[in-house]
Amino acid sequence: MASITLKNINKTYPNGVSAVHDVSLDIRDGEFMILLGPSGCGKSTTLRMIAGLESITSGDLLIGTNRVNDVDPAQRDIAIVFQNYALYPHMTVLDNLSFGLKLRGVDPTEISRRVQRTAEMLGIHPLFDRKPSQLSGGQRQRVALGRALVREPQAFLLDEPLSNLDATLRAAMRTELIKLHRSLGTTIVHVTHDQVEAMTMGERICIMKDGEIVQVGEPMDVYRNPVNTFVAGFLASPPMNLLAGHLEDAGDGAVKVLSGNIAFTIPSHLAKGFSSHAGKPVTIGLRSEDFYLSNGAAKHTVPVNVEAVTTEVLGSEVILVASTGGNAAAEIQVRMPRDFRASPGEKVALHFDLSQIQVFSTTTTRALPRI
Amino acid sequence: MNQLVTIESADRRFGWFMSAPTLALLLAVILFPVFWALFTSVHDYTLIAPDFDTFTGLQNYFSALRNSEFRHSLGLTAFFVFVVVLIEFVIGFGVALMLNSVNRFKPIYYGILLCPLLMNPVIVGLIWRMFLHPSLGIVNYLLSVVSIEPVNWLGSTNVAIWTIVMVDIWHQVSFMIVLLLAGLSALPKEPYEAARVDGASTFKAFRHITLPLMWPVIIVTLLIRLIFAGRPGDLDRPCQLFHLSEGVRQPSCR
Ligand SMILES: Nc1ncnc2c1ncn2[C@@H]1O[C@H](COP(=O)(O)OP(=O)(O)O)[C@@H](O)[C@H]1O
Ligand SMILES: [Mg+2]
Repeated sequence: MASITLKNINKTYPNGVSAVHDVSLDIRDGEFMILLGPSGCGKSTTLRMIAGLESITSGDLLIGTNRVNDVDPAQRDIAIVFQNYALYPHMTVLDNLSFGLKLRGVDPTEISRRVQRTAEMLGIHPLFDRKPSQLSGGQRQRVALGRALVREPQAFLLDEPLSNLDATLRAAMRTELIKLHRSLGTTIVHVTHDQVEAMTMGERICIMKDGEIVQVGEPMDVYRNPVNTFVAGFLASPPMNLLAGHLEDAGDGAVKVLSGNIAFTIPSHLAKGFSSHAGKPVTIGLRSEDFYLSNGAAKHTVPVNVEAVTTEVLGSEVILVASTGGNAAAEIQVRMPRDFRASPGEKVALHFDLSQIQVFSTTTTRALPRI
Repeated sequence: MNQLVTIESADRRFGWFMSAPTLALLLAVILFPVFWALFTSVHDYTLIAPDFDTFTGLQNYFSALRNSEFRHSLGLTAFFVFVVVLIEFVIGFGVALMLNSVNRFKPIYYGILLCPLLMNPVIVGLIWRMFLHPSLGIVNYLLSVVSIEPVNWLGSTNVAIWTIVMVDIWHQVSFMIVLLLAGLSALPKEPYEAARVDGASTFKAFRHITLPLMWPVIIVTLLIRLIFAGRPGDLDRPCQLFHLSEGVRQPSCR
């Protein structure tokens, strides 16, 4: 087991595409780290540089305390599960699992012991004699995972391993991977563009955009305190409601928030950090779950009156899509209890929990500090 | 379900319809001559009396096999085919592997490689006969520059067969290269990356991934080359051999 440290890593592909800029990240020993970001933001490139499949243009990569920039992938003692699995198409499942160990000259009895144990854990032992082409997507994915597991490496790198699975299987494999990490305690770097995976699986999330790291932190921390509008809009489904508006000084350290028909005052003890921004355009972030139908549900609620556009009944809850009205009308999505119903055009009186408000500078997109 | 079956059979009928002209042509120019030849071979058929009056069974075959010159030629042909295909395969696979990792100017290399293949066999024979001429040829001249005795490339009984092997390799090796290169460039890239992380050296990756994945292509390539190199009555080789060995008038490689 080992930590992985990236120091100011850059990657420019030979064709001139600059895929990763100045990425610095400390992945602790035994940590489950998520690399999250939209497609094309450089997640795979970062992972492949850690694996040694892609050269590092500049910067330092450390595994444990050793600089491994120029170390052959075979010597890094790291296993990778590729997005497309990359199984050996001509080998049976059994050979796929044992190939890496054979190459390393592991004793045959030890090989069969490890392969048996891993295969039983993943439920793929009945498939030993099949070729990859005779497996379903989920089975291939488990074989690819098994091939990494039998190696018992210092760290696992997983490149969107669940993206090709159907929803049920994906949910099941998420749980499996979490359990696996708990029992092995090995460092895992898991790449995904799926925010649900990121929130549920990671001990820490590293959010990337256009080849740069935007924010690193524990899932709830990133969720509650996004550093900018990109992170705010990317995490969670439905995403945070981002409304254009501006701040006004309301005296005594309190500030007034204005956006279309929405107007409310944030008391001074919640708005210390915002008051310096009074008079400037801002983006207001309201999470969909911080709205209530009654005003007694949270400590500092303010009324928000909206007009229903449509409702999405999900079973466990209802998503209300509503318009804020006024000349800067915007659509917001609000989580409502499962028995909530509203017909289009109906006025709905909502109450927002002020303590959860996020305010972002419109010019820099960065969050304004609350205190 | 029923409709699917109908569509499928319609597809099949259309397929047959489209291939019918080609099939008919193949039947006429391949299957018919083959059966004609087989049929003729079991009759006493001469150009003076071209008829099928006398059935002789395997008589013709026995008399051919009793002829020591025929046996010699047969042995030489077998030897020639085996050696040529083997060497061409080794060289071809090696060059294909090297070219497969080249990214720049690939079309140019392809162009150069295809040149010999495009050349008429008769011309190939004539060119090499001039190159290999015992006293006027450039090959012996170049050898003399580095003080090596001139070689009687086409006249000597020991050397002639190897000369012809060499010329055939020169002429046909690009065929192997092109076919094997096509196979190599169609191989998936991902297993190689997986193998690198799994700890495979370049040689191990070749041995455990490239070779097994290439088997189907290798077999087809070898089969095609074996058929072409060993085909009796091949237009290509006898002409070439004839032009190479004409004027030498020695039965060294007939
Ligand atoms: N081999 C390559 N050559 C050139 N550009 C590449 C290569 N691989 C990826 N890229 C580019 O680098 C950027 C990041 O790609 P990638 O790391 O695959 O993104 P992600 O995995 O986050 O979707 C993209 O713009 C992509 O087009
Ligand atoms: Mg990717």
